[in-house]
Amino acid sequence: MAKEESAPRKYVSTGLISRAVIELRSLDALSRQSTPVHKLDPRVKLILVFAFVFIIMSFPPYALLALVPFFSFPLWMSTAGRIPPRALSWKLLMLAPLAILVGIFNPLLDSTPIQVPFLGTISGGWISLGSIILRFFLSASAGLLLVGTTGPLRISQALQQLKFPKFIGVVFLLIYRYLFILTDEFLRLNQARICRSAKRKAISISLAGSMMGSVLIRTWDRAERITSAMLLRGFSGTVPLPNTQKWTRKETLLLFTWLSLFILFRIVNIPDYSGQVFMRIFR
Amino acid sequence: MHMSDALVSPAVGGALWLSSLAIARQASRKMESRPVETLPLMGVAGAFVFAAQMINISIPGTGSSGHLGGGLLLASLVGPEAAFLIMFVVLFIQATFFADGGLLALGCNVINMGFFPIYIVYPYIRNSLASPGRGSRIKIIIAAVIGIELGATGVVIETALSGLASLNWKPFLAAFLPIHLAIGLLEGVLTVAILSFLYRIRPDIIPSYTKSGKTPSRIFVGIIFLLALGVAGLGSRFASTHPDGLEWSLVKGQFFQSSPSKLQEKTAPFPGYQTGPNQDSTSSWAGIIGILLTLGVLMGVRKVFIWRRKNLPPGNT
Repeated sequence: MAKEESAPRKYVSTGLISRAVIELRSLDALSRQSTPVHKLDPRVKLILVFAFVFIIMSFPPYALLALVPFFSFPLWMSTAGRIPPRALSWKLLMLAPLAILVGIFNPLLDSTPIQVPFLGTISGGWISLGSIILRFFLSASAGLLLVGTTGPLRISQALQQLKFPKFIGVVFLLIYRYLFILTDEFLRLNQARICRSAKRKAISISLAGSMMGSVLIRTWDRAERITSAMLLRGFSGTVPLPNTQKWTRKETLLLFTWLSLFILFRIVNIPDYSGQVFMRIFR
Repeated sequence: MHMSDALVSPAVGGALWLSSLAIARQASRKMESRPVETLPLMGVAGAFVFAAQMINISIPGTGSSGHLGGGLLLASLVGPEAAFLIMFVVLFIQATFFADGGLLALGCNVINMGFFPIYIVYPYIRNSLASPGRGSRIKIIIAAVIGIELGATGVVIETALSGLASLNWKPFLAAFLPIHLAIGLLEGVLTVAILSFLYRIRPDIIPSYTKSGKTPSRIFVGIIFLLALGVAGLGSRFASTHPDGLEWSLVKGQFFQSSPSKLQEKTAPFPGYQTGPNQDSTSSWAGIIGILLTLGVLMGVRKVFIWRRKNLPPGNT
């Protein structure tokens, strides 16, 4: 009985939406801090994160040790940008099963024997599965940290300054803003449905369609009002760029430092190398 | 259908990124003639698709669930060009804010979920979408299924070209395509449900762009797509025969006088033990010690960083 009551929605799960809004709000709040990383030109962060993901993914499937030094980048962003690790770890752990699913068959299908201390010989698939999981954590945390240290407005400005197709930046910002309005609208509507539907848990597809449709109409009307307000205030179809944000020598230096570090980590397997040097000294 | 970075090689990801950027650029050029007032409506439509993608509807009898892709719906609400741009942005937000779908895989996702339904399928059922009567409803559902299946095929092709996940192709395909048949049906039925609701309540929203819009130049888009596939194919072939192309090109380019693996060989404790930069020596203790050392250094630097910040006067960070 109690179990039935605790699961009121069977066919349509809206839990995701409310969770998404909570997560968006928390990232939004974090992005309004003022730290050295927040103050950087957003273009640097965007370029670095893209380069970071690109280089990580360029490793061959068995790369495991060589990926470890790359944790320095997310560590730097979260430490200097004051993003509490808790804000990320929960979300990353929630998403990790997806990454594991991608490589779950590797241990079965790839049986190249590899020697590992403690465990003896295992199939190479385990190594590539581990590599996939590491890559997931690295690239996902870099993306989340980019957002957490930059915020939607400055990301959209950076997209515009980096010559992404013209409307991408402004549409990005608008979608982000309307998302809050729309999800609130939807949660209210869904609350009303739950209140009125007594014990009926399943909702039909046509009802789902009507619900989505009426949310769309409500938000659409609101958007039209907002549009007139924006036009009256001189909206011209682009995101205004700040005068204060300038690309200084600090940005260039940071960009080149990290890029050369990435290339160094890509070429030299640092954990492997340092371990061997260590063993040579203490033999 | 959101692909994660772990599935995509840089060659495939990069090629599809470039091609989706090229299509977005062309779309955005076509958009320039539109009045500014339509931009906020694009925002609403995008936010709507974003939220709709988060409502997971379980597919009866399969234990799987699906969500609205929204490509067709977007195209019929704001026109194909705007729909493609919106899809690009929605997937970008999902990749960065929610780590749903990878950053490198963004190009693949835009092609699979945006390009196929919007540029390939939509032009054929433009008129049916503008007035969903009984006959055109079936057409829309079929079109949605085709769009989703094309996208699913795209996922498979891109994964195969990347060659990162070792997969048994036959059983994978046998599970992947039928489940997307169901998801496609769901997509079609939902699209019809939403559109006919809108048509009944607010017919003024739908047709304005659908009827007057011109067909996107499919030849241009087709060429771009084929180019991307070609580049991705060539790129991954190159990548698989030369696994460390970056190192190789750096050494060739005289950045380093001696190859880094030689340097490692000189200091290697075990004679005859080969360590290329990309062959992980998981067989030796050195690897474990090395991980501990690297992590130790990283954590140490972090500790110093935090300690320094705590000892600075407030407001001076």
